[in-house]
Amino acid sequence: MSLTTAFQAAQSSMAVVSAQSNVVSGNIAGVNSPNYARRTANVTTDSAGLATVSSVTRATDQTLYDTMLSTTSASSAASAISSGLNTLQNTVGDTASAQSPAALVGTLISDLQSYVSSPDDMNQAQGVVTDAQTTATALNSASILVQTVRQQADTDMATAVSNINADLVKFQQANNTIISGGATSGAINDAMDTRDSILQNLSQYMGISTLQQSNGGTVIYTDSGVTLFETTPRTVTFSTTTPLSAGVTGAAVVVDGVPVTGSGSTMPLKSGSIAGLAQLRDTLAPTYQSQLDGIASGLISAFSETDPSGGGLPRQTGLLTWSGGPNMPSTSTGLAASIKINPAVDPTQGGSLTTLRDGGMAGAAYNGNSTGAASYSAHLQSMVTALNTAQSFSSSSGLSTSATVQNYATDSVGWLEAQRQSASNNSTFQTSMQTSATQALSNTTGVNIDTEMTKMLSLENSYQASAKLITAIDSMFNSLMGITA
Amino acid sequence: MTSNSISSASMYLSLAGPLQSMQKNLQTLQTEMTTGRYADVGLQLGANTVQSVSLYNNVSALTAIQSENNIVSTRLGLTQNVISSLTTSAQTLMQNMAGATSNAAMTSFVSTAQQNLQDMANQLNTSQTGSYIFAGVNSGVAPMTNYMSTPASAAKTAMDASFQTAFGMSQSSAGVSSITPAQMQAYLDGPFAALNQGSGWANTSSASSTVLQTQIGPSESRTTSVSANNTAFQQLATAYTMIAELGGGNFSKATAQTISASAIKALSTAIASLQAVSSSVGGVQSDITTSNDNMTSQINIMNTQIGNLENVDPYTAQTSISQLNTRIEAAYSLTAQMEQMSIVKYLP
Repeated sequence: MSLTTAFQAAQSSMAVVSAQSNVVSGNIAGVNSPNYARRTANVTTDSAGLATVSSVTRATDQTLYDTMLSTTSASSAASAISSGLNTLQNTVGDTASAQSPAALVGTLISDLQSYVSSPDDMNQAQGVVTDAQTTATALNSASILVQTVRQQADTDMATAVSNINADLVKFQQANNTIISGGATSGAINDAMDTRDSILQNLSQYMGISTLQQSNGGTVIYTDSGVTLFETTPRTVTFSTTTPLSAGVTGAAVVVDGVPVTGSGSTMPLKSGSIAGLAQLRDTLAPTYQSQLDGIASGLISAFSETDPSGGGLPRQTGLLTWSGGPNMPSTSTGLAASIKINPAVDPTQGGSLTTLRDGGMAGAAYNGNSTGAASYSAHLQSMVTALNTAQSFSSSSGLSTSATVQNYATDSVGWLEAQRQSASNNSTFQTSMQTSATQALSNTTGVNIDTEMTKMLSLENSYQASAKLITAIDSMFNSLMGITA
Repeated sequence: MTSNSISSASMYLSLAGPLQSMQKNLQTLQTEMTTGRYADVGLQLGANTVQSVSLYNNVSALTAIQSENNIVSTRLGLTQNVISSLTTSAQTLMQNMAGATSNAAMTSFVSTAQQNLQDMANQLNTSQTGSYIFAGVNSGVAPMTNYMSTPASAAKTAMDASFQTAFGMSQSSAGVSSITPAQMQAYLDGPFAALNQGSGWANTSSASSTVLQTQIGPSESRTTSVSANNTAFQQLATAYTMIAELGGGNFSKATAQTISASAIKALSTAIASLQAVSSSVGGVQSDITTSNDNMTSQINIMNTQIGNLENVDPYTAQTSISQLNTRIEAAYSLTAQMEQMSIVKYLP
């Protein structure tokens, strides 16, 4: 061992300390970045006793990372459903404000009931017509809102799909950097950070699972098992549908040729915002739409006019009609959007209020009050009876198929609020799961500034020691030179 | 790194996350504190919102029936007034007639009967906000025509014609003295009685015999008007017409007594019928009062139920707010302390 070797050892020590400080500085810089994983410099000593930083290790925990990804997917699915249902809840409002279709139908029925008691009071007739108008308008705007929610979900799905495709391209770049092998360990670690952050991004849109390959590459599958990335990105396609009116089904998201949303999908996504939005667009909102249509259909049917003479004239729409009136609608689909007040009874459209009392909106033959008695109430009474009689409703609405319009409308409010409550609870739960998974991962792979600063102190000490060593060796050399001189 | 390691990022997250949710809770609680109800009733009740919405609907339905009952009560009150006034004047006339027996005395009742006949038409044409209360469902048209009107009413013409047909002379002619009590009795029980019955009554009244049926409670309906076609009014009109038309004629004493006795009998039948009508109307009035009371107590119960479903206990809300405030303040002071708790502060 010569002094020169000792000098080299001291020099290498200083180089190692610099390299380690570099890693510590990098860690401190990444302290607030959620996708930064802590790096550790690995020091090795060669046969000559010289130390070098052989590699930089990146802290990982695959299990926690996978948990973080799956909770992220579940949480974004739940929050997409919850926020959609919150928007739908605007059609109902507060129970006390009486703006829900159920409350408006209730007001309409009780005002009609009052009118039956004094059929000669045209002010009451006007009141009933106004109530019917309000109810029809409320159903129209509720239907528009449902359509808006579906349309918005459709647009959000399209945005998600285009983001997924862009992310997959970036993922390929990062993945290639890792598997090519030519890069430095620093560059590979940065690429891993990038890859993790892309995966986290992807997991917001759809549930994913990953598989590590022996060459360091990663394969991505959707949580339903469709390949999303393997060496190269698979194509995710989706096209928006306009308009998404009642009865129109939106297009499916297709991954690698396999549909992953919609009723025709054999491998449907289980989580991620696309799964949540698809459920909102294809199941929840259409069900609510079908309930609104059912209310509209029930009202049109209860107010319909029949031939008072018992003759063969067909049943025609009465107080409330639809775009295809005066014929009775054959299906309830889309009625909430097109329900309207019958122009024949609305004075502002040239109609006559007396047709409400007597019948005859569909023509004079439907007028049951042949003598023109001012307090004729048989027709009004028959409408009240029809409103209080159970009707049959489509089973696609998820409610009782036989109920009075009033009860059906009330059940619809209950259905919506129940869905909203469970979606909100689920969203809160999934969000807290995600928070704790993120924290657990961050605790394992993240940076603690105190630890890094302590490391820095110790590095500073070894730097000082190395410097001291060099000074000592230098003075030893000087002494040696003094002797020879 | 060991399992008890903690990253700086998660240390701050663990403070910031809960702080946000606590602030959101605080906002919710403040709303509940000021309104006394859940901030988001639907979210809180979920499927139970059905109960709340039905209760609101039921309350508004009952309130509507109650306000309609007020109108009906007014109508029935007016009806009672008319019937009682008609009964009083009929009773007065009957008492006066029972005390008098002479032909001359009979004559003095003619003008009273004419007056009563006119009065009856006016009374039965009583209207409530444009609706004729004795017209049955035909409430847009005044039901009664005045018997004493000029030119002669259809009823008066029919009466004159029937007398002419029965006796070949008018009731004011001097020849009526030849009519025997038996002939007169036969006329009174036959053609004369038919004048104010069935199709004969149509000369006087255009009312519909179909009366108003009103829902006075959640599931009970009552007849809530009296038609001018009610037999009580027909009997009363028969009695008055008898006195007004035949009371002053030049009849023999025996015939005049027959008329007088028939008139008194007709009056007493009419009074009994009026009283029956009045008591049935009274029954409906009392049903309405009972129904209103029932509905008021139902509304109170339902409002209490709505309160049970939707209201928050202000004391609990207040306590929660102060607890939350304490926790938020603790979180603030922790955050400030964490800021100080860094090794960086202690390095030279």
